[in-house]
Amino acid sequence: MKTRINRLSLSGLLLVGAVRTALAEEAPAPPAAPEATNSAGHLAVGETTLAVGGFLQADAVLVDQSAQDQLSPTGAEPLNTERFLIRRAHLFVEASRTFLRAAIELDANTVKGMALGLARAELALGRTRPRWNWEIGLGLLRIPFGLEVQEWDPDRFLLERSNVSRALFPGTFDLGGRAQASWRFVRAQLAVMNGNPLGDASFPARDPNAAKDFVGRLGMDFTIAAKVHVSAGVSSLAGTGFHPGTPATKDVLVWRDQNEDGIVQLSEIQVIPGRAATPSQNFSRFAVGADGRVGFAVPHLGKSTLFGEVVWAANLDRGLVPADPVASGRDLREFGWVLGGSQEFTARAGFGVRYDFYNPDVDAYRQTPTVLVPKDMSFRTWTFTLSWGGFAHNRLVLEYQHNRNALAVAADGSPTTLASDTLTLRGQMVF
Amino acid sequence: MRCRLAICFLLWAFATATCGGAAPCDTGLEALVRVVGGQFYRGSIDKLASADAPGVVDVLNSQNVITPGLQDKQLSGRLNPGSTAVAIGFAGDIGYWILAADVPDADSPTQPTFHSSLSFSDSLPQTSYDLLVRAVSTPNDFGPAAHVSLDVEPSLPPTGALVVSLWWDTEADLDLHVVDPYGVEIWAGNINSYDRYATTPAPDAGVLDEDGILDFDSNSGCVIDGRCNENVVWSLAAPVGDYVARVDTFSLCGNSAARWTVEALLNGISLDKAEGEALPSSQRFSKGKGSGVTALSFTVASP
Repeated sequence: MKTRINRLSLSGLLLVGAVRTALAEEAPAPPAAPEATNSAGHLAVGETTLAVGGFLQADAVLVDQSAQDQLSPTGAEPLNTERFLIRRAHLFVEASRTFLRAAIELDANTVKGMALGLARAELALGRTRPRWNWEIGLGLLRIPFGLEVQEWDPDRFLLERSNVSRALFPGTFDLGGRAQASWRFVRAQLAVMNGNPLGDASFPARDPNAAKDFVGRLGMDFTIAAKVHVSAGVSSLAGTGFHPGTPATKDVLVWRDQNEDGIVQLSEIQVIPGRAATPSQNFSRFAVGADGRVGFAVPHLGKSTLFGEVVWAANLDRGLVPADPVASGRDLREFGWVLGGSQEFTARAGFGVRYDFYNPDVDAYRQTPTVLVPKDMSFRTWTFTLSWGGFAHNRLVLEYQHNRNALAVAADGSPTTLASDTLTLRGQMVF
Repeated sequence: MRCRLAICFLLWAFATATCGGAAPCDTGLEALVRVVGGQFYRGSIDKLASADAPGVVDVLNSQNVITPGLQDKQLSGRLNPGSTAVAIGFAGDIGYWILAADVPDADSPTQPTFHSSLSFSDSLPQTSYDLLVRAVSTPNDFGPAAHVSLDVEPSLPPTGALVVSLWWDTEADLDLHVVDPYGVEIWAGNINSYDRYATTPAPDAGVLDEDGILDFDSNSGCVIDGRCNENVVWSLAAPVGDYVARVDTFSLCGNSAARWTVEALLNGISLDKAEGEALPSSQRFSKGKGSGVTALSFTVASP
């Protein structure tokens, strides 16, 4: 038995070596950013190769201006956000056999109390060659849109995605089917998905309507003079959202103590008439975006990365200010962009900065006492990150986020920023 | 050198990014008065007046008497032209509330209005308060204050020959059931004991004064009214005999528990008192006459 295990281990180690050598030499660029299985441990069982791995992100929110030692007056939820939490604890298993690949990834976190759930589950058929590859997959898949959505969480230099990305794609995985291919420097991805990703504000990982979302990206990925790496693309989404109907209600008697004497009087009893049920409705939504990333080495300093992304959408916000054009009576147009960069200073230290802008309703207005005026609903965030760590994904990150928004009311009644700056420390390890 | 450059850049970026004011994220739950939908600012409202800022035209307030924990007290009024918001708060409180001004009424088309719903702290001390209302105009100019005097009176159980009271600590729907010596059960489905006269003709109105009556069905159907208190009161004289008081947990309205107290007062003197806790398991029993757990059994003797 022991001999058998030793043989298995030996063959596993040999295969790990072979896979890593192959990855280093052939480097057939995959069509999409894959989950980083090359950092995982590999094991060969018969004709099947198993990759097991995971990562852990543990946070300490040191300062949050919005934190209060109170419960929400309406929902009894804690309002304190200065705390320790497990942001992500992922464990995955990926099996591949000839042209087939299957992966299961679990996520545990304590963001809203202890939670354990499926983060990824995909089954794929594909082939990889030095200059081209293709793959078709089914399951809970990464959404092929833009730059940030397709970035593996531990790869991201900053702690979290930008507001525009988190608003339009509250989760980066959705159920559906996806085809992707690459030839030389060209990358193409197309997916048909439910349209309610993990993290969706209303129906996460479910689909209340039969219509599906079509989402895809066409991009390129190449290296110039062996030192500058460029990745760019355009993305698009066309889909159908869902406005929930309402159930029928009964007549209700309501007492409003209008003269505040604490005694029920007949004139103070109002009837709120019951209403018939209203049907649910579908609405169309779309997004188009462009993204780019340039990585290059600065002499005597280290690796530099610049990135940017711009998205124009309508009725797509599913996370930050959920868009419902049926309820609001008009289409809600969203616009956002991100610009940022990171710089390594030594082999161990790095610095990153990002500015992101997101307006969930570019046509918003508000009523002042005398006139209707446009309302700037935008969220603007500066993010500064210091990273320290000697290994690719294993690092300690300190991040300050300065938020500007229109969620509060100034003394003169105009919208102003609700203070919500944060300072967060994160420890991360990939295994 | 590289580290110094990085630190300098970080400090510059931090200073650039953080310039500009922001409103505090504060629920204002510690304030004595709260304004629904208002933005809370810490600081005294007393000393904010500016010489040429517009003022308040009038304030509409129906009652000057309030009780601790009172919610949804309506306060409205009109502001002078140029006002864009209104500040509301108690003089001497830890802060005040800003509410954007509303559109003018048709009969005074140049004067912005305001409509507010006030709630008051449960720990409001029993005294008189000066509620200040100031018009605010851009840029943050506070006008002279309009004063509304509010007297706080304790929310005491009603007076009467016999009062059986139930109160509880969370926004749950609990019901008081009292069975009188004639076996008549007084509860939300039968708010007085007059069905012992369940004969025709109907009794005179004066006869009803002799009966026990339930004053209020608090948080009925989880429509939260904030009282969390019900009383069955015999105003003139209580029938001699044995009584039973029960507490029925109609619904915890999403709360995990509700701690309740039942007390019987005969001519202001406590006959008996009991405490208990309503748990989710208490909701599963059938509701209506006869439901609930027995909290008190007491006897009213002949005088």
